[in-house]
Amino acid sequence: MLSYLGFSQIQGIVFGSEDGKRKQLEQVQIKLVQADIGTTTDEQGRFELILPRELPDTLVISAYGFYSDTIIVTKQDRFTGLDITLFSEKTLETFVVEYRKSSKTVSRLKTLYVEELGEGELKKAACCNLSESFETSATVDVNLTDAISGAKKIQLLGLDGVYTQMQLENVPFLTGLEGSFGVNTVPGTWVESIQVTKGTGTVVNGYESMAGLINVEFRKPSTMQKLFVNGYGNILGRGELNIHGGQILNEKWSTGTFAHVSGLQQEIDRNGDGFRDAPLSKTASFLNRWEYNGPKFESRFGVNAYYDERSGGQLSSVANRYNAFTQNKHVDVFAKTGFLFPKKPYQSIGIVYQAKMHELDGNFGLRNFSGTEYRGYINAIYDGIIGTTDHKIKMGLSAVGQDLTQKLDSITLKRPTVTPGVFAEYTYTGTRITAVLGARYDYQTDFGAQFSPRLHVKFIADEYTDIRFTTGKAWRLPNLIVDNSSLLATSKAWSLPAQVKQEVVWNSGISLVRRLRLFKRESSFTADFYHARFQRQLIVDREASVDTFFFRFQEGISFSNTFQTEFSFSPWRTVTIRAAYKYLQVMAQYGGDLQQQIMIPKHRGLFNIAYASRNKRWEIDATLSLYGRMRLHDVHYPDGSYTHHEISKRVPQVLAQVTHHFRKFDVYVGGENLANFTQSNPIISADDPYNAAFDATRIWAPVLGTVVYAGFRYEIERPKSKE
Amino acid sequence: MKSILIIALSLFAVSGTAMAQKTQTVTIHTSAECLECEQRLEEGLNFTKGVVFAELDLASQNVTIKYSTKKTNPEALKKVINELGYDADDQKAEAAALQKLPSCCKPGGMENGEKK
Repeated sequence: MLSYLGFSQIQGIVFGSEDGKRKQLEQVQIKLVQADIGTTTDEQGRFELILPRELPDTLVISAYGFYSDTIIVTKQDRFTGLDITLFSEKTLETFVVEYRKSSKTVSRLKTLYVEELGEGELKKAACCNLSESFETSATVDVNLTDAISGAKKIQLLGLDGVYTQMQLENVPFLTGLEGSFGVNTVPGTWVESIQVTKGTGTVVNGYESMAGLINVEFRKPSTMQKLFVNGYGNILGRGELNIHGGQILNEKWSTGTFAHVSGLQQEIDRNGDGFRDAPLSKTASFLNRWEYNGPKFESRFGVNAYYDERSGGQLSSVANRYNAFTQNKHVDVFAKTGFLFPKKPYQSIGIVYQAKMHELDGNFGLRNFSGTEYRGYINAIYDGIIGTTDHKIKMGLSAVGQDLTQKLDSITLKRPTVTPGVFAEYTYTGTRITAVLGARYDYQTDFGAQFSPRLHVKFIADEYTDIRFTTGKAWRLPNLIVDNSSLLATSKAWSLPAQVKQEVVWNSGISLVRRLRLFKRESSFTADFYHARFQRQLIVDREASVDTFFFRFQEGISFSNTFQTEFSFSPWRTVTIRAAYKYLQVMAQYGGDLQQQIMIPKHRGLFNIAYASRNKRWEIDATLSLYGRMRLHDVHYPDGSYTHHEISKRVPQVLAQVTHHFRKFDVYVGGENLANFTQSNPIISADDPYNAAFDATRIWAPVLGTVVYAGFRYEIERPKSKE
Repeated sequence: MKSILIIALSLFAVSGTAMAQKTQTVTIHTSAECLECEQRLEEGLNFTKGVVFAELDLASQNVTIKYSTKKTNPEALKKVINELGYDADDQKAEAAALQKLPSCCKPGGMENGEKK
């Protein structure tokens, strides 16, 4: 939500731990040091404090007879609650909690199950863009879409990336034409943190979070580095340069500028099939953003533009070469404005605007596709309370105007839509139960209205255990051509439905988060189960025929069940181990039978080990991902033979990185696909791409073997205090 | 890549055993009071020549430093702590460095946090 907009408040409960017992402490002094404001806890140990604008600040919690505790409060902590335990001075010192910021955490305070990837986690895999940021996470899967374009897609709950709503600081982004592959265009070093929510999420930001919601936070002008330079190169010849820096102009204004250039200009064909294993590419990206903080009014605005070009296909030496080219041109402007009521700190009004223009142009061999999109978005939110802060309410209006044109060969699909909507969300905060009940009603021109109710409940079972439940409806309008453009890397015909309809899902889930203490250090266990049932879904059936892809809307048939469990612990102070297992059942009707979607493994495992030396100057991180066998679609070969019900091998993926920190800069060396596992014949009929049997979409493992990279980061940090 | 990893690891092992013979651990009481101080002090010491690692325990305000006896000594380490703006045992912090600290790190900045 637009949490930074309105008033900002922090709440918490303070416990005292004495002789092994834990009880709420009253009359505890709570003080914000720099702002010089404070309060004391009530008889239940609770407190609330209005936060000042100057953050970060240090919160000091002190009570007679207990060790004091300090917590750094940042802007991200606004609206959150804190669970603080003070230890009795009688407690032996070894029991005092050790501070260690975990870089991958699940917030205990949020009602929704939100997995946070912080800076530490993001630096683990240095390359290169947003899609690759998820390679050390078990929640989001990253897959190649075809063996030619080099584009990667994300999946959440086993469902394609288009079903996940992407937002940049709570403004929807990577929509429409960018829905499928936009994650490849966001430079990784710009990102400060990522929040992943499974399930439908809040109604405030829109209707599209069918599988989940991924929110990306870029670096903020007022807190980012004065100067940051990152250079990266790999043995394929890919080079990348990222530069960004922020300036604080005065007490109210600050600005940040980001630039990214990258490219690969060398042809690689390690598997000798005559095709480039990775496309040649050129990318340039620019962002300029501003922040204004006044007493009655806050604003963030900026402009973002990028150009991206990828050229895959056969090697240049091949006569009459098969060429796969994609070009993206993009400009958007965004603004967020918050109006505050100085006398009523619990109220605020926020307005978000965004306008974008995107042009896509490409071809796979003889098949051309292109698109243009003009999009305008506005969302106005009122934020307030009913009586006390135990009852909060948000309501507002939104409108999306989109003019989308998609072209495929001689087909042109023009689709202007306007989608106005209203929403309301009520949050109840009790001692053990927090509930968020929301609903939105949207009307889409030509396609009809949708009502989307959602409910999220968090129950604190005991001081270490949270149980969350979520259920809700979400929907989207599919983009027939651009959502599936990678399927053009074949000679197959497309059979499109006569009429486009909205896709609608009801997604429910339950999750458990438990904190433990193992080896005297913090450890956590999580388990969750989600069931997504589609009322209507656009399914691409490649199994009804070997030479045609049938696009069909299936109603009340398709569904997915996913179970994921994760365990992380630190056996030594310097080592953190994380193990995860995921079960995926993603079903729809293919070739007339209800069966698992092709190229979705039933089982997936992840094992991550992170080492940080005691002086924190060395960091080593290694991840092993294992993907179980996947069902493959039947194909025919140029010689006339057919495959029948083949399944893939199990796919191991190993990546590792070593980082060394110097005073002003870091150096890292790493490798991807260290097990050197590749698919031996990723392209069917590679020697004759104009043959009817040609298919580069039957891809279930990497095309490239081991890739070693190295890079550096140089930064001048902003001093934390003006003094 | 594998070989690089192995080299990196073996470097650790070699330097680890070499250090084991010529290192000592010292505990110094400091005036560091908050998490911000912990970061500043640990970072400052960890990037000092001869320091193997430095860890501050906020509750006791003691910093434990493992160092190479060839390259540095406790007196030099105390001086580094003073230069970072903190008292080290009975040696007072450098006034200029103290002035540059954020207000929470200055003495009294945490007056409510101090134990009775």
